[in-house]
Amino acid sequence: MKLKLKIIDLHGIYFQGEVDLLNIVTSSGEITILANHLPLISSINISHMYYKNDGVITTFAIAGGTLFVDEHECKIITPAIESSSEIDFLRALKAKERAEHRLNNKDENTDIKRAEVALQRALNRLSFNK
Amino acid sequence: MAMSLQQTKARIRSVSSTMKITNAMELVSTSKLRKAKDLYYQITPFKNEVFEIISYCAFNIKDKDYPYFKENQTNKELIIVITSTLGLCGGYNIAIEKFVEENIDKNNTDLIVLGAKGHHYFKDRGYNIVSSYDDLPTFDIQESISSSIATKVFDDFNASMYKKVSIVYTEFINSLTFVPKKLQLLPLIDLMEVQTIKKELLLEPSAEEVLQHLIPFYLTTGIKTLLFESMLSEQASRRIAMENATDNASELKDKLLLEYNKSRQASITQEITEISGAANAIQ
Repeated sequence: MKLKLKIIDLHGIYFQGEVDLLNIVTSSGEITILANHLPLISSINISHMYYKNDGVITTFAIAGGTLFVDEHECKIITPAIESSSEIDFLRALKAKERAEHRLNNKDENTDIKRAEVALQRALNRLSFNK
Repeated sequence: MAMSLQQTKARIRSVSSTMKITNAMELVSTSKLRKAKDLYYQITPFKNEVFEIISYCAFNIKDKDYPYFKENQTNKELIIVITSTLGLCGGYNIAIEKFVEENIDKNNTDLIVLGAKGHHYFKDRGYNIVSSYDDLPTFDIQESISSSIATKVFDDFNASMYKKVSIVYTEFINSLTFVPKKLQLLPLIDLMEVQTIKKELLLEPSAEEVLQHLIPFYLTTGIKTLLFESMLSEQASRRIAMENATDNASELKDKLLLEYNKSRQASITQEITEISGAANAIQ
């Protein structure tokens, strides 16, 4: 039996289909989800994620969000997700520099948390560039 | 008393130049509306999913000891009101302002106002405004305003400053209909109908931690998408207002033109009568 997976990002439904397994990093650690999982809600870390379907692994960079498994399907709700082939490395590099610049030149208006998250996201994307 | 020819002519000129402007504005808002609608339909599934999870939590977490499910012990309420920054959008702002005045107890309410129009209106009427954002982002999936409001709302609610937190926005039904609406953000309520699950719901690592992460995410998404929906309504309202203005101007122009021709004809007739009268008198 296959796992029904639905990925939703800010631009609508990113992916909908059936996969064999899903591997994702949540705040409690890396987990693998198969079909018939118990209902689960967990938060997703800014990390890599992959699913396997018919022996083919597809890898993604995911920018946080929420994982929601109910009796019928598994849903990933995330502000941003890209497969390893979709990542715009140039943009990520620029984002990294911008975030670093903001963190290095702090003043009272700097939203440190936001800059840190932006940096994490950029680094996560860049880690695919080998 | 009819206007003189000169005056009528001047009015026709002014009406037609106004018509040109409103017509151009209608075209601009039509194209903006189309763009906004596309983005709105893109972002809607995301909002629905987030709201569904929240409803799911509100419905299925049996242990409702978490502060997010209970009203705090105070009379104060916090309301986020979304209005517009630019004018010329018909009854959009007036509808929201009326709605707020009718539905809200002024003395026990703090407001967060988005949009300069609402800010000035509520300030003049003595509402307690805790923060305001006069410059709204243009149509873009913008994070910063909504996430900073969400953080503030979450912190204040946790500090037991408010009994309830709600948002007043304009619901977009279709391009011609939009109504002001109030939605309670905190404490969590079932926003949508969801099914109860038979099996036990796992929250990992712990319910507390999941909610700590999920609620700010939900607030940010909620504020962002409802702001978006309101801005879409604003644009639709502006398009209708400009369309009406153009129609009215063209009607007025026709009327004035008729008046102008009539009085021009009247003066010609009079001159002819005078000339022929004078000619008859000479003979």
